[in-house]
Amino acid sequence: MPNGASPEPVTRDMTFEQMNALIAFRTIWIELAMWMREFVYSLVDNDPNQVAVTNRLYIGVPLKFYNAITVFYGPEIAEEFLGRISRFILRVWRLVDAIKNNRPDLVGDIAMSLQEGAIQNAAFMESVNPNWDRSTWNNFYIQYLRMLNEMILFIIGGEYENEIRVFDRLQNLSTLMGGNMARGIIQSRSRRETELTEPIESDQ
Amino acid sequence: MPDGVIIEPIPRNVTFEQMNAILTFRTLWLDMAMWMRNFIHSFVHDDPNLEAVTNRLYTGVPIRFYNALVVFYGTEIAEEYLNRISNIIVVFWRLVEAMKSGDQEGVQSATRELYETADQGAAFLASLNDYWDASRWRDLYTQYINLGIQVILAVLEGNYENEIRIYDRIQDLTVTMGNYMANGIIARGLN
Repeated sequence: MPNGASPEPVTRDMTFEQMNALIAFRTIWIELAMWMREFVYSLVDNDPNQVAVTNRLYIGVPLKFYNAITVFYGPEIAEEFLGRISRFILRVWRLVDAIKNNRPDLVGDIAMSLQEGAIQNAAFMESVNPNWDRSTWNNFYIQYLRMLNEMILFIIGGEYENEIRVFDRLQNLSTLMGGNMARGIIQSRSRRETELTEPIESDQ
Repeated sequence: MPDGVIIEPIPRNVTFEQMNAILTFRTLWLDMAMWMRNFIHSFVHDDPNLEAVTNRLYTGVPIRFYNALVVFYGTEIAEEYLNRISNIIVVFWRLVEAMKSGDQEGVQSATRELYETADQGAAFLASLNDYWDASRWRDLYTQYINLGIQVILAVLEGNYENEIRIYDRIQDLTVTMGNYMANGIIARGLN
């Protein structure tokens, strides 16, 4: 369990659909972490699979987020989320480039824009679903960035055992993020269903 | 979804414990696929992270299977399965090595051994749990090995877009394997 991350409690019993939502979001966040790691490696080592990995990360992953979110919130919000994830990936790309090319002047600016993006993303998420608490997501994103940064430095520094340990933590964090996202959707839908089935008070 | 893969049905309503079993076994198989892929890349390209990746695959993955199974089957059976998973990894390693060096005899011998190990693994699982059918496990293992071989070939040929497509199919297959494993645990009552 990553430091500072609290385990996500899950509803005691779930329907098949609820479990599917949970699995879908966990899987997408894990995918993001996995392809992000692959991408960092391919960029740092100038691997021959760089184009293929970049496509899988930059096109494949945001599209999976889009497909999962559009079911619950429609294409407009899903597109907005896709744009945010894509921008996040682009910034990480620039960050790796700057660290690799030893450009501390750029690293500071990019790190700042990543932090600002995280704050904005957390606010956006809460505006979409009040169960996606802004401070929780802010914390998730900040931890995510911290681990990502550690991972990049370990890869560049050739500390591969440490890099794998950080990646395992990043994966744990990803499952928490996916769990929180799914739980927020399940809670809001359950609430809506309860409201719809509650009897309307009549004036007597 | 890989050709011929049957989507494993999941119970309509799942308890917290059942869901945990499903998530655990899905994650384990995904972990195995992910590190196996990473290992193939590192080995083929002589990457400097080869040792770390090999440790994560050869030590980390089997121990996770052990930890998950020991809860339901005790130490002896969990250890037996750990050895079988480790063995599959070792034979797979030999296969990558033989394919990389163009050793045809080695490729044939490792491939044969891989399928034999998978057959024995399928029979072992079927002996543990009535829900787990040996032929079903054999089919799943066979698909896993076939796709794994395709990944090695694609990496060796430098056909990386194709390799990622195959890997995505492996990932789908691991979902089926994880569900099937979890359903067996659920069917025997999670105790």
